[in-house]
Amino acid sequence: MTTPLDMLHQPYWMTMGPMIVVAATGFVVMILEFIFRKGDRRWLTVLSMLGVVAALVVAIIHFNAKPTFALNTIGVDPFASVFSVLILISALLVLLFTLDFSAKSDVPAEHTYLILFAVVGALTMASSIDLVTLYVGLELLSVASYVLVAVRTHSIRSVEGGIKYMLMGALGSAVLLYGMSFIYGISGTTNLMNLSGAGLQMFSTYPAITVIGFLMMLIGMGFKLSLVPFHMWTPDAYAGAPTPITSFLATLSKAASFGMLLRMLVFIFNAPGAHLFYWAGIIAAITMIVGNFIALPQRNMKRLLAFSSVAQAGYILVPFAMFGIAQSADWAGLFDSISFYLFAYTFMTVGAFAIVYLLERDKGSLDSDALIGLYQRSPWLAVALTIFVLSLAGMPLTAGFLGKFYIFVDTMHFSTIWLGVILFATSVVSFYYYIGWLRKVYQKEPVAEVTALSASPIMHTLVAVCVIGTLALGIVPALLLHPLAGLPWIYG
Amino acid sequence: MFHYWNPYFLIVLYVVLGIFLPVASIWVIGPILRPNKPSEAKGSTYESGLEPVGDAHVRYNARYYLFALMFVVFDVETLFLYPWAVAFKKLGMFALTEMLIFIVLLVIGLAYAWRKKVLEWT
Amino acid sequence: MGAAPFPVPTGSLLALGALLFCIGLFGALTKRNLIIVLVSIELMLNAANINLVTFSRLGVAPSLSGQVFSLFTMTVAAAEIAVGLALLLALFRLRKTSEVKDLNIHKW
Repeated sequence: MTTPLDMLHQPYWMTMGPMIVVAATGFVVMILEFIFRKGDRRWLTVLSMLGVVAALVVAIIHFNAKPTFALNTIGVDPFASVFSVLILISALLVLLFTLDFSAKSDVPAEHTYLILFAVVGALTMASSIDLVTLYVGLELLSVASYVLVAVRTHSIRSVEGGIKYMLMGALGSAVLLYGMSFIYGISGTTNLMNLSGAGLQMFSTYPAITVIGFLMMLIGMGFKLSLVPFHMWTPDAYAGAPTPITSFLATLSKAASFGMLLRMLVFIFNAPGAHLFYWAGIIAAITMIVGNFIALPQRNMKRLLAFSSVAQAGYILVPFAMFGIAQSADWAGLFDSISFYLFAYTFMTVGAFAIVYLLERDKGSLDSDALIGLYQRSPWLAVALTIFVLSLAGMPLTAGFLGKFYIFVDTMHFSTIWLGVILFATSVVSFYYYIGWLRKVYQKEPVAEVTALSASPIMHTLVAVCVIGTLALGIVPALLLHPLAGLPWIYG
Repeated sequence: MFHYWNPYFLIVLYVVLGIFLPVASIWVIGPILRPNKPSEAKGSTYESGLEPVGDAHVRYNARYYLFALMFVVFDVETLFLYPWAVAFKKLGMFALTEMLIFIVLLVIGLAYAWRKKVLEWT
Repeated sequence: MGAAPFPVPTGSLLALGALLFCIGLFGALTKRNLIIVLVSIELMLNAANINLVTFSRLGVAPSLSGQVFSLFTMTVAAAEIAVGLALLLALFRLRKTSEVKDLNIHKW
């Protein structure tokens, strides 16, 4: 029993530091936004970025901290550290993206602090070890995202995408919650630490309810992660949302949901539930196949990237299937491949969306014909897009290749080679539509004089950061793998 | 066993009576006892004795939805105040501070809605 | 926890929850009006609440955390529904409709 006095003396700063900083920045920006209503309000975005940088500093200071939990609920451990850093880096990229966006467009300034509140939710998902806080964090992220997608209230595409996302997201969270209620019911606790201890007994006494709980939690998160067959909202929401928000949905929200799924499944259904993880493999296989094949006929660039992100979610889900087979000593390797792929995925996806955004603004259309003549017009942006697209497809020397390679090696190591084969085959399929883009990029525009694609210094910086990230992780993976390898993933 | 079924027996009794009485009075006993003289005025909708006006399917002003959703959010937030109030003496100073922070956040939300002109009827 | 035996068995309460969940799921997947769909999703969330409260009194290891969880769920559900209504309002202003079949701008 914790007495009120104990509650005062908890390591709040160490365990929740990044969350406190981001939430405080969010409220400050919100109040400033409704006080100062006139003129160029981009300084609000800059302020938010400063807040996120401060949170990143706090997260990095405590990166190697001993696993500690405040009130047995929210805490710092290697898992939380890695995902917090990933979430904050992608938040920084997305905010940089919106900085250019809010200068020219009609989007109300609300999106700045909505992104910050969503980041608080994402950080909660990454660092909670209690079902209650995990659920609240997930909903904080989701509800903020629904509003972000529909933030252009006068655009029917935006609102329609938002409504579809909201309906499917709410359905998913209802299913997830129903699954959680069964897990709570047969164990009597919502704390993941206690659950990981209670697992064995729970499985032997109530095998059927455990399976229902597992599947419902997987399906509920499947809605949020847009795994096939729960992906129907993805292309509409991605195409309807403003492009910076689309990159937010594709990277930050996905990374946080993967973090939460991983933590729930591994803590609750560890060793005794080995056979259940097979389901994750089946869903991963369907997701990879369907995602890549539906992407083939797409002409709308944002919809193509949406289906590509569905397929990428399938790749990331592959290692999940192996937690049942692997000994817990080998789990560190699986954690490494998942987080490496998520880091690589963040850089290349934000970069690709940045260039799609520039083209969309230039031509006023999302059709992939807008790509024609890009190399003639702006060689640097064309080369950058080439790098992102090749990385998404999985070409050597890029981060995307190494990410897929590590996952493939895992499948061989844990003798689930059929998943590795599907991963490889569907990647080959994905080359087809990505190369279709590249052909258009290097095609000559039939007009005599070409104008350079206009891009602000902010967008050039964003693209450069993403290129550096993609190439650095592809050529010197040790930059990320070294700190990851030193982490004590399994503790206690 | 009896202890468990007893409440259900009462419920069943209620349900049976609840179905029997209206059915008997409207369809069985009523038609037998009452005289049958239909006219047009008798068949029209009863609206407190006034002449019925317009359609039943009127659309409410969309403004009501804004107030409704403001109400829903703030109404449900008070849910947290009840458990706190019940255990107030046990929890003491720390929980009081926490609740004050919580209420301040709610006030910021209200101020925000006010500033965004959600509370005005225009 | 409670000393007197609870007069209703756990199974009945869980069945009530499951029934509500199924009605909600059916409504969410088949109804044409968006408001009814929102109501159905709310039913599903309430089914989970019934489960949580049942387990917190009659579960394998009864504890208060189930009730705390359901308090949080109610609040979160209210927030979700508020956002849903706001989005519906925005849709209604643009299209004068609240039917699922009219969500047809996006095509693939």
